[in-house]
Amino acid sequence: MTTPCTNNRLHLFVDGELSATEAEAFRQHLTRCAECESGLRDLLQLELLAARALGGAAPVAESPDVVEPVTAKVLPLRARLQKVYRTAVPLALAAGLATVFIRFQAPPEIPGEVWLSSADSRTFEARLSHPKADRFLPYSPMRGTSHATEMLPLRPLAELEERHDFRGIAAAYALRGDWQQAEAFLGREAESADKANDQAVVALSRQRYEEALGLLTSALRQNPNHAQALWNRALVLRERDLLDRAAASFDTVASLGEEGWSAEARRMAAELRTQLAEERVRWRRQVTDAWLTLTGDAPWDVKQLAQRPVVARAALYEAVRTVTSKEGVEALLPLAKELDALGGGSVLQDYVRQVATRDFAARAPLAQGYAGLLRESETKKDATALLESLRRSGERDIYFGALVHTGSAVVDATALSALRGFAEGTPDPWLHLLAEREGIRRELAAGHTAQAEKQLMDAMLTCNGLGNIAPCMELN
Amino acid sequence: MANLFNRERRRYEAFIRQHRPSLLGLARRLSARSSLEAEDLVQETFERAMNEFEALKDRTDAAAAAWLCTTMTNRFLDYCRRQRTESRGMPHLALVQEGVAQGEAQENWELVSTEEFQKAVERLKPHLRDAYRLHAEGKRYNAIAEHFNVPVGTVGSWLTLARRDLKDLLLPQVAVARERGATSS
Repeated sequence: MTTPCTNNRLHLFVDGELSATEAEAFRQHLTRCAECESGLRDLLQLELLAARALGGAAPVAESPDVVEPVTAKVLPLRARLQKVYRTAVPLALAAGLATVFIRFQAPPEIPGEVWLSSADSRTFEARLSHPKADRFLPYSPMRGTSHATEMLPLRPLAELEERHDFRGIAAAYALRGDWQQAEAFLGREAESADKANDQAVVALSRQRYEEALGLLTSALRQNPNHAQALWNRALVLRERDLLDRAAASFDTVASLGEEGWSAEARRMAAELRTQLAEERVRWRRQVTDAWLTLTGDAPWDVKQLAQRPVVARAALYEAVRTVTSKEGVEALLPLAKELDALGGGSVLQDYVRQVATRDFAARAPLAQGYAGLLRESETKKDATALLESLRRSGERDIYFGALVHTGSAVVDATALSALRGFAEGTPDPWLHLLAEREGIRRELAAGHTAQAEKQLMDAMLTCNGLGNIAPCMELN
Repeated sequence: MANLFNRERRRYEAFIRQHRPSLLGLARRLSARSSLEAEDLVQETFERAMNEFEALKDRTDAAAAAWLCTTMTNRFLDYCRRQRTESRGMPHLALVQEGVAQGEAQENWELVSTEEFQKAVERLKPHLRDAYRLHAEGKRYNAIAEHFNVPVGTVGSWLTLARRDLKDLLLPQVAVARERGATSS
């Protein structure tokens, strides 16, 4: 006898290979069988992993007879139309409705519904270049995919195809969340800033941010005031947590004075800036608190500090730079070990050990000077003298900290090369990124925006790849 | 505060964007040929996620996906129990079981990254690997059977074996990951 547990029933059920009756019986069985229930839990986790890792859409069994492989999803319009036509026309004729034919051939006027003209909200944030698909509407993501089910009228699409308006067709698909079709049609559109923008929207929807930025840069090279491209660039930068650059891009959109969009862009820019400011304040407070704990007299708990590894790491660097004795530095070793265990390698321990060998008679006054800089970060008047002493001293780690802290490298080329020189000599990737950030800020100050943003995106990617050890938000 | 809220909202939206497609694919399979709507199942799951988002947002993608999967499985099992009690004219006893069995399966799977999964797939026997890949691409059993020129029943066995082997390959890694987690925290 076949019980529901045997013959891979569970797998057949999850794969949609059971008939309706069998599936119903299995669902009933599931509620009574602990073994199958636990098997289902495991199997679904595995299948979700497969969907995420192998990228394919899971098979959908709407009906046992319909087999629609994913590869067949991108169908040429004509083929789709013919499919509809083949069934619709004989039916219509049989019913005496030959007018279907005539309407089919009627002079084409593209109805607005192709681009969801009656929608009252946008379902995605990005902007398409097609004017009909770029009306300003309030953004309402939670209403999500409801448009996906709305049938795309095929006749006007065929007309658009005749006119080679592939961008219009792509926009219609994109508005319904069918990015695969949108991408396929955009491929047939002639090269233009608009095309690059729309391709970037597809890339953005697929979370291919670097590709999106590349396309947008190309669109903006062709037309520096391309409103949609500027808007989408802001979105890409925001997705990579480059809030400051994102706000700047929104500012440019706001300055174009488009109805609806302009105000929205201004609001977005302001929101991003406030958010960044809040996060900076919070971050600095956390690091300062941890630094004061590490350099204070009270005992501190390694495990507790390491619970916030990013903060602890930044505070550890500040502490090593500011303690004034060999013993003081060595006392930081347990935290360095703990954080190295999380980040891998022995970067921090090596740093602590190396600083412990320094001559503290010479180092202590500089360490104190740097501590003063940290305590009174607003007053910058004494920094020049301190920076000069540090430059001449061999305490390069403190010099590095002071350069980053004062931002001197942005205006001073010698300082920047010192910063880079030091970063290259250490194995800590975060210090490399900090040096790079200062270089990028210099590029930005010089007006090399596109290049700087590309570098920032790369730096952010590298930073995110470090695992949870670096305050990537600081790259802003 | 408004900004913090907006930030959270955006993170939640990004979270939905990231996980919805794979979850919906799974929901469609579970709800095929039943009165259950896949969209509803996913919607309910994300509603739960919104309540838990404070805890979910800082977890790894793998952990968040595992949580979503467990939650959706629970919603689905609830539905099955409701169907059963309704068909027998019984009250909704099953809802009492809410929250039970969230544990084990989720904890194991949340430690498996997509890279590890890909590597494990690579290590499957060639025919199992190829069949599993075709399946993951969305091919039905009969299409896979045709591809290999084998009976449909064989495809079912291959997929079952592939999944068993994947589990065997991945779970020892989970044990190692768990140990690593235990020593580093």
